[in-house]
Amino acid sequence: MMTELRPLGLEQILKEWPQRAPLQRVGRRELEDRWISVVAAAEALHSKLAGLVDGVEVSSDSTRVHELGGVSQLRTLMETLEGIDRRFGDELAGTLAPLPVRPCRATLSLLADTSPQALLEELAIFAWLGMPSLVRAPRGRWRVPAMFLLELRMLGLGDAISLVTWPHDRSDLLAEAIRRSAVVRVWGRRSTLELVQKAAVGSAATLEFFGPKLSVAVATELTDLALVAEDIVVMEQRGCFSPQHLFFDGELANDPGAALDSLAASLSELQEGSPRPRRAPGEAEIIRAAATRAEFGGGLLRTGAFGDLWYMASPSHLNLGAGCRSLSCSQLPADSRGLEALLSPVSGQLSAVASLAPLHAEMLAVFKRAGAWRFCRLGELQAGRPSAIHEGRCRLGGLLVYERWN
Amino acid sequence: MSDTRAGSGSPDVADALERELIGYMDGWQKPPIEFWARLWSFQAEGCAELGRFWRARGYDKPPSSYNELLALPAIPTDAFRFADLHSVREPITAVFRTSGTTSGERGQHLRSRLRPYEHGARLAWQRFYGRTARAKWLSLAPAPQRAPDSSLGFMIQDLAVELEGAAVEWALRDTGLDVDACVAWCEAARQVDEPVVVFGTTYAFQRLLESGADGLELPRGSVLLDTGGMKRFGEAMEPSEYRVALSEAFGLSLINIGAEYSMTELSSQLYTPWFVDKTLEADALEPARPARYSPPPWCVVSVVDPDSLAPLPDGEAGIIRFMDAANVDTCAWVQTSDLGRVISADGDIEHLGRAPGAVPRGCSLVLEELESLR
Repeated sequence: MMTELRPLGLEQILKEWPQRAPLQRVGRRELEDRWISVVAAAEALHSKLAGLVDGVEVSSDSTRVHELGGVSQLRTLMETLEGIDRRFGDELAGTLAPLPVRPCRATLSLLADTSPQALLEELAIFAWLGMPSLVRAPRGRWRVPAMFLLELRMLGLGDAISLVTWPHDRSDLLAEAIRRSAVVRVWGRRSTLELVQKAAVGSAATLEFFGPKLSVAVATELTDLALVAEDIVVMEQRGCFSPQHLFFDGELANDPGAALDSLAASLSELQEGSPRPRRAPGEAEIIRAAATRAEFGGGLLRTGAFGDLWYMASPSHLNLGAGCRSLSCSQLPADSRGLEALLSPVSGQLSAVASLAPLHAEMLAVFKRAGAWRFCRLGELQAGRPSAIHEGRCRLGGLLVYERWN
Repeated sequence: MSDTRAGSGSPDVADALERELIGYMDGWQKPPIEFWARLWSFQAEGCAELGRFWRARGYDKPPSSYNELLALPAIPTDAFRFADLHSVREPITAVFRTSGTTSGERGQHLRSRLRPYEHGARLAWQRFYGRTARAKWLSLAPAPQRAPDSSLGFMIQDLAVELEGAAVEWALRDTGLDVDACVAWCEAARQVDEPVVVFGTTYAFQRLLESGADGLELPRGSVLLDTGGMKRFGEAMEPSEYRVALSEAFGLSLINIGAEYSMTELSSQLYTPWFVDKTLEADALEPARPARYSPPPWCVVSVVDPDSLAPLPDGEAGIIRFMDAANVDTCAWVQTSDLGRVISADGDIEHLGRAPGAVPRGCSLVLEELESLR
């Protein structure tokens, strides 16, 4: 489990893909279903890209995408991105020079901490199609995306991809980059999405937003909590598969204090030998607000294990700080209506639900309505596809590109 | 019938603490460690929530040194949204509420003793801006009659009417800021040509500037006090542009444009000191500098690490924490979500804005709330 703490590279993903890809494990019927998905996805891709890429035509043959302009066109487009420093990790210096002609058909991707994997597949296919991509990584956190992009380059797909960072408060640079882009994809917190939306006013770019996602776990016995701890530790509560809320059911519901203590013990065991997680700017305040609500709102609070992770039992509140190193806990509501009310603040944001005990069909339906698409056992929350299907569906790039590479 | 929101501390002990505190206030003195230790014990025993908060963190005896005092965990301002933090067994006579946050919940500060608040506020005002009484005040904050739970309105009313015997024009109506009334008031002030006082939130002042209204010039010697507050909607002006714009619109020197820093959960106010301290005039004349505030000696300001909340040395930036002795009846130890740094031995601070991740709050939200209802 702990080996997954290190970032996966593209080569590793490709190497592991045959073992992980559903194609290698499914039967004929499912294979046919998947093929239908491939066709549908390619048609969607055709619609999506046909109007975006000058000189690139996507054939009606759903599984084949033809590039007309080729590398030369790609280089021409890239030359229009004057002023962009394409060296890995360098900051974009100064204001981008205005383009002499209307827009280069570029894509702009703004990454959150945990999103480079989510970005990978689409970047690859855009590069292959000849669309240059500008990727903005968080300042000081560009190394992991750089590793991914470097591997894309090694595969001959990366010439059109530039990785940059710039200060969060340089909205002028953001607006200029958006103005130059045909497609802008953003992974981040609500505040980031709002910032981009504001900067994109008047732009013709297509905006694709991927907001915060979170997962939940259901534990019924003390022994379950060791598995919950593993799910917490693997991605340091930063991924969309990270359990941000833990429901106590069964014997645990009667003594949440004992459950928190048991969880603390499991986290302490895992802490040994683990790297200390690092807090993002603003994370401390978000966590503190949730902790204060728990402590002064009639709940329980524990701190300290696994770095200084906060975890709290609150009678009736979910932890809304998705992506923060904190965990809120509460009793699993007795009926689906109660669960629906509890989940309403995160409606549409759920990714996965983990439980060892079978969940009642009505509860499952509520989780699904809140956005959950993956149901798994405790301890397996982080064992999803390495390419991190953020929205719970296969990405177009995942369906097309990997097939051809293999 | 006893007030269920009230604490359990002895009113006699509170009386003794209050008398002692008033003495320190009158002498413009810092209370000694012994006073703080008694105040801590009183509040830890008198307010169940406070006692539980400190015991849970291993603090079960009063501080015996200044370092121990500074290391005491402080109650987050958010806690005022969820718990009744009151320490004395006596009826609640006033409730000040925060203007709301983006989460919609309002914090409340339950009061049974307003004398330390009023006494301290008057002394601080007189020291920093009120050595000469002015007969006319303009408030861009809500009147106590309209918003009885606004601590800002309460303070302005007390300073203007009770202390200085002034007439106050309350320009914040039920429908928002009455720009025409502000212009007419300024015109009348020019006719009299005596110095006046204008108090308002940043948001209200920006609304006034954005209105493009002419005729806001004030008589020479007038002072304008910005009480801060966040702006949620639209484009906020850069602080330096904002102060220059105020200076030009009201026809005042930058030295006459000051700021007050406080919050609902406190009783004391910090002020920009340059109006009375000529050695600090350069701060006023360089509007790009972060605002500098001076606390009264009974309100100790420190700065703590944003992650660990451990005290930081003077000069380092962190989260601002208060020990406000004028909160005798509630909780003196208050942890904010504001960034700042201590820049002088007297505890002057530079205010650096809200901490990342903190929800917007402040008196400016009052006007925003009114406007959202229109």
